[in-house]
Amino acid sequence: MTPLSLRGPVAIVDDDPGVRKALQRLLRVHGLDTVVHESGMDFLQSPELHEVECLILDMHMPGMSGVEVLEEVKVAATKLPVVLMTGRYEVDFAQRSLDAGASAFLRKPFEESELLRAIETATGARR
Amino acid sequence: MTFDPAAFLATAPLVPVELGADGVVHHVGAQGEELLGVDAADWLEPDFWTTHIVPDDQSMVGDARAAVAREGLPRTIDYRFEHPDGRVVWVCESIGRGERPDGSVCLRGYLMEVTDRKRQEVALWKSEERLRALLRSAPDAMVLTDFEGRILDMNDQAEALLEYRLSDVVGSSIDHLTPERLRSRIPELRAAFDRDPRRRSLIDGHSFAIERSDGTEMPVELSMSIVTGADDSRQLLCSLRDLTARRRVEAQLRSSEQRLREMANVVPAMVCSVDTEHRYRFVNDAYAAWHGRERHQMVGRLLREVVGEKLFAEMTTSIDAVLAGAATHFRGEMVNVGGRTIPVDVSLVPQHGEEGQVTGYFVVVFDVTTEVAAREADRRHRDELAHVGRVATMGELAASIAHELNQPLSAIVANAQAAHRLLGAIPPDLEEVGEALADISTAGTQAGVVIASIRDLLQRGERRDEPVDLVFLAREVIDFLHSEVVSRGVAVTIDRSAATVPTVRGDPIQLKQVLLNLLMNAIEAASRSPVTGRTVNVMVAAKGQEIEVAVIDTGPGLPKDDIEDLFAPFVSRRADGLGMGLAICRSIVEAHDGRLWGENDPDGGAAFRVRLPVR
Repeated sequence: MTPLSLRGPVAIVDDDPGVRKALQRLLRVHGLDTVVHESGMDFLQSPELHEVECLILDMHMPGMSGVEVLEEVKVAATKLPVVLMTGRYEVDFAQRSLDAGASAFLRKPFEESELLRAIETATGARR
Repeated sequence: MTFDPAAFLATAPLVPVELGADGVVHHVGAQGEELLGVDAADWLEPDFWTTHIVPDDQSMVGDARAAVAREGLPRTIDYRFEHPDGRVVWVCESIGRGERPDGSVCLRGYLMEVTDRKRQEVALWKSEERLRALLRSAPDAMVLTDFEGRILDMNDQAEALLEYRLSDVVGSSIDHLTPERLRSRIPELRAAFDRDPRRRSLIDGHSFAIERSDGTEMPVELSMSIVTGADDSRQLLCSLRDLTARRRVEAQLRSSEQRLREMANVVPAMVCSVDTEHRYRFVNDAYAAWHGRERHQMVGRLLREVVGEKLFAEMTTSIDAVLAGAATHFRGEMVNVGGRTIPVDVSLVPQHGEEGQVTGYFVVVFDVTTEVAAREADRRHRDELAHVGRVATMGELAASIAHELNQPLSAIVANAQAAHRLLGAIPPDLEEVGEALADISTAGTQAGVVIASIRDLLQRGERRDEPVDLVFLAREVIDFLHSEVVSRGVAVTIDRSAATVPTVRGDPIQLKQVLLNLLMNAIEAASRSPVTGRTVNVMVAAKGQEIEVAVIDTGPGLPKDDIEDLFAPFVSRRADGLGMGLAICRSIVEAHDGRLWGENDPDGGAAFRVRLPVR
């Protein structure tokens, strides 16, 4: 598998520490730098908002939901590509993600290939 | 001194007389004047007797003397003599035939005044008359016999009762009126009287029987008294009271008792009557059959022996109470001879004697198998419905549950694939692989907890009855709803009144279901309020002998007039609700002897309160 080459790190925002840690480990294995945040508010208030290359964002979190974070991201850093993840069964999730301005979406649990493809799709990066 | 008969006789109160065959006095002793007040010369007058014997008695006296003269047999005759002072005195004349020196027939004898004796006789005669008059007028049948049992008289009532006429039986033995089997009793009774003659009555109210002319037997109450007849003889006055009527009443009583027994056999219950010594006086067929015995085999046996020590021990309190006069009631189980056990409802009812004292008690045992089975079926249906409710709830929560499972699954998959890559690297980063595996394990455990919660709620197992800590249960439910809470942007808090709240008893799954439903409703309601104020507060507090769990939301509140309607089936305040949740919750809470109601919280939202008894 050809490693993705991104200029900056990938941000992971999920309230579940297990998920954050696992995704971080997997992306690192694939040679990607990562930053993690447990809430959207955390991320939006951090300087990394403007440094990361891609945002992998959970849909359902306490406080701000994924969609709400996405809206803020659009306002603050219009170019940041976002991959929305959900663990819930939501029939119209794909459409809602795109409507909200996400570049790709993932249904948990997902394969590493799906994750990499989503990041690739979102960032337009080539392997 | 030689005995001089003439001198001796001269001292006796006797008047010697010698009469001719014509009755004229030839000679009279000197006592004639002294004893009867008549001069010696007057005695010798040819019309002496016709002027001195009371006219009514004259012919009798003449006839008797003629008979003595004719037949030569001595006689004693009593007649009335008119005393010169005007009194009538009774004279007893003992006279025999003799011969004078000239060879002519004469009558010789003595006269004796017997007025006192005669008066007594008359009195006696009159008392016998009174006796006979009494006998005639007595309301009871009366028979007069001599002491040997020969019938002397009987009244109309006796004739009617015995269906004999006096003229047919007078002089015959009373034995004729007595059934053979009882004949020997009469001499026994007479002998008893001879032994103790002070007894006024021979028999009093003795249960006896008589035989009527048609040979049929009749029960009578016999009283016998000794009376003295005119001739000083002892006689028996028998009073006979027809016992048929009384017997009929007794028979009716017996038959009413019989009816009671028959009724006791028709009643779908085991019935027995037990005395204060706990011995069976009566058992009905059902009772005997249950113990595998015949009714007569049970009577007299000890209750303890028959029902067994265990049940008897269980009954002790109730038995003590019933012997103190209070009807009691308890539920238990009975085992029959075949070893079959049935649930029973037992009532103990005191039996009272005439003076109100407790003489024993009735035990009435109802087989409540059907009732228990019905209740069991009812409970099963309710449990079934509760289960259906839980399944429906799981359906509503499917998205959240999936999220709860998908989180750890994502971590597992990502960690596994990372580990795979790490192992493939040169050199492999084994330390990192180890951490990935540890994280997989943690995530797996996390998923297991979710699965266990789901399994708990979906299981259909035996209903449990165990101590339940409502604070702990509420926490479990809040954790289970984490995903739901997060996705709806609601904050859930839990408060309790004290560090420890007493437990209640019940089925933890069903009680969890109640809290789950109330919380889901509250979360849904709260999610309709502005984002910043979406709160659900769970408060657990002891309220007297109850524990209250209040679930209070910041939602729009309940429609004031129709709060109770929410507990009806198929009524929901959620757009996607089935409308069974609250109905099922209330049924569960009530099955736990608790209450569930809804009200509007003073701060605006809805409050649902569950109260369960502390146990």
